[in-house]
Amino acid sequence: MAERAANVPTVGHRPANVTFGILRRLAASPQGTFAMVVLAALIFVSIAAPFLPLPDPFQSDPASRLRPPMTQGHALGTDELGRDILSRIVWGSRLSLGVGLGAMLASFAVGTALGIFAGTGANWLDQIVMRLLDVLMSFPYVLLSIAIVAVIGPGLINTVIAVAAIGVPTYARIVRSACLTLREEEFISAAVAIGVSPARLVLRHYLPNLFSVLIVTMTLDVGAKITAAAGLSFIGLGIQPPAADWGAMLASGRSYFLLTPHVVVFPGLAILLTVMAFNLLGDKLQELVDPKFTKGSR
Amino acid sequence: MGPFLLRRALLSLPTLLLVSVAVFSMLHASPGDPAELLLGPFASQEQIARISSELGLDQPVVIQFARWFSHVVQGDLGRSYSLRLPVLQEVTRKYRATLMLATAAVVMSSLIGISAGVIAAVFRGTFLDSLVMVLALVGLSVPVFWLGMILIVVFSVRAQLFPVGGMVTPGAGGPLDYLHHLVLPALALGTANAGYLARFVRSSLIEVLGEDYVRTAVAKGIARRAVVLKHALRNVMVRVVTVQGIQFGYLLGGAVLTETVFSWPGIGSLMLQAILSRDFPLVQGAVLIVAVSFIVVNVLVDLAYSLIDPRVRYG
Repeated sequence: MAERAANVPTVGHRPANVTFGILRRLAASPQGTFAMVVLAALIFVSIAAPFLPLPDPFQSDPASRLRPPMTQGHALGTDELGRDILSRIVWGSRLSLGVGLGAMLASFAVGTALGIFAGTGANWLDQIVMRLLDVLMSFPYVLLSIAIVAVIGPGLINTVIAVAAIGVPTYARIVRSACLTLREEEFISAAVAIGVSPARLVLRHYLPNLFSVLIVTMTLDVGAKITAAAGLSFIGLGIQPPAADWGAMLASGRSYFLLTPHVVVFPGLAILLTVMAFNLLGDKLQELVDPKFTKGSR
Repeated sequence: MGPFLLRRALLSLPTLLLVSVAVFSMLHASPGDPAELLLGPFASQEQIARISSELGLDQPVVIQFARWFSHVVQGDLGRSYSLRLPVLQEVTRKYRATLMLATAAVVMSSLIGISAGVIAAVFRGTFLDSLVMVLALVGLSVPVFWLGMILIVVFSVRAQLFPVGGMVTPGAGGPLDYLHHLVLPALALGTANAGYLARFVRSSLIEVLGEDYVRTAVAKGIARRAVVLKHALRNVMVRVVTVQGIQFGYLLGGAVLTETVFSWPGIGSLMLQAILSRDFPLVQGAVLIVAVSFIVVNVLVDLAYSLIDPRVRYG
């Protein structure tokens, strides 16, 4: 009985109409609509890429190198190897979204675990974890990801790891301070009093309550991760050519952009639109999660 | 003030030591032998072994670190493997370039970001406000290396107003030439920050404008312009200094992408090269400089509080 009562504040069984309500409220503003349309389109093309009537993104054609946009058969032109830029951007959405979401989830998982350890565990554990994270944070994050890739080598999975690592302290800090507040709540004390196991305490009582604190950070973070991964690819340490990746497209276009800017304009616009959509979604979610925020901002 | 500075200096020592140990371990854990990279693909095993022993790379890692550390304490950061120059000399030279770039970026983003934020807050709810906020969002979402290339195409190639890259025209020089080279990279590097700052100043200012003392000032008949700029903005500035200070600290080491696009000879691109060529002393020296400046900037930010906000005192 007491256990049931302790479960009340959690959101384990969120009814479907609550999710629908959030989506409807997001769509109520032009910014929210824009964000959802862009993200829906992105998810659609990334899933449907193989079925879309597009040229092969890897098929090079030396005879039609660096063709400008609106050339026959190439709406956005071709790159330095004659590959279709539109097709590469569409296929690249899979990598960018995948890396962004994957790295965000990895940061979230590791950071949250560390934050829960620090926020609910013994004081010495808290001190050790937080001091180590301080060291990680006293270092510009671009260089940190470069250093990590230097150790583990470039490539898709390693890019995800490097980009994920730089976000860990952020999650750990937010989760730690949320845990310190939650620890004082009655439903946690009640759960502890009736002898709920530590694992269950974390999974059933802490985690669901952390989610509302973290949802905004997670949304904004996907955009940040996409930019960071593209940055790594741009300096040649991320996803390697000939992969159709937006950052790698900018890297290979760098030698040609002075004369044929379209080779970098479109992949960059793709990154910009995607990151903007995630940032807008994060902003709108912030207003929904934190009603105080609406008063000050809009 | 004195005891405060001393305490901060002592507290930063363990952090610096930890950063150095972390970087040292990471470098030594990474694949790639500096001696091999230095000698190229056709070197014999004997040559590699000789260079390794000359550089002390055949010693256990702990001994190597102890040796490096004992030199650092005496102000000697060692010699770069690849450049064959004292690390301190090379690092300070490149650091000056980055310092210039980061300062210009922070000044530019402050000018743009604060004025945009004030305009949006004052004209809250109007078209102008929406426009500024959309631009701020674009600014904060745009990848810096892409923006750099677009700026080069528009302002260097098409309009021919600014140089394509570099820090100084060969054969020329002088402050004006540096400034001319500085505009585009500083704009690229400062844009994201300007976007962030515009949003931050707007929401902070809207919050402050609702405070009692602002209402009192308005009731006393002080002009709205003076209320916004003198009473409200001054209180927002304390927070702005924190944001910009932290940003400045990051830019001192994290401007590598901008430096790459604009061929700016800064510490970020130096570190990238050093990491790729496994030039251990150079990486260590550069990291140390970046970490120290990060700490110094944070202390300066704390001190700046007490200048802007007389209620803050450090004893």
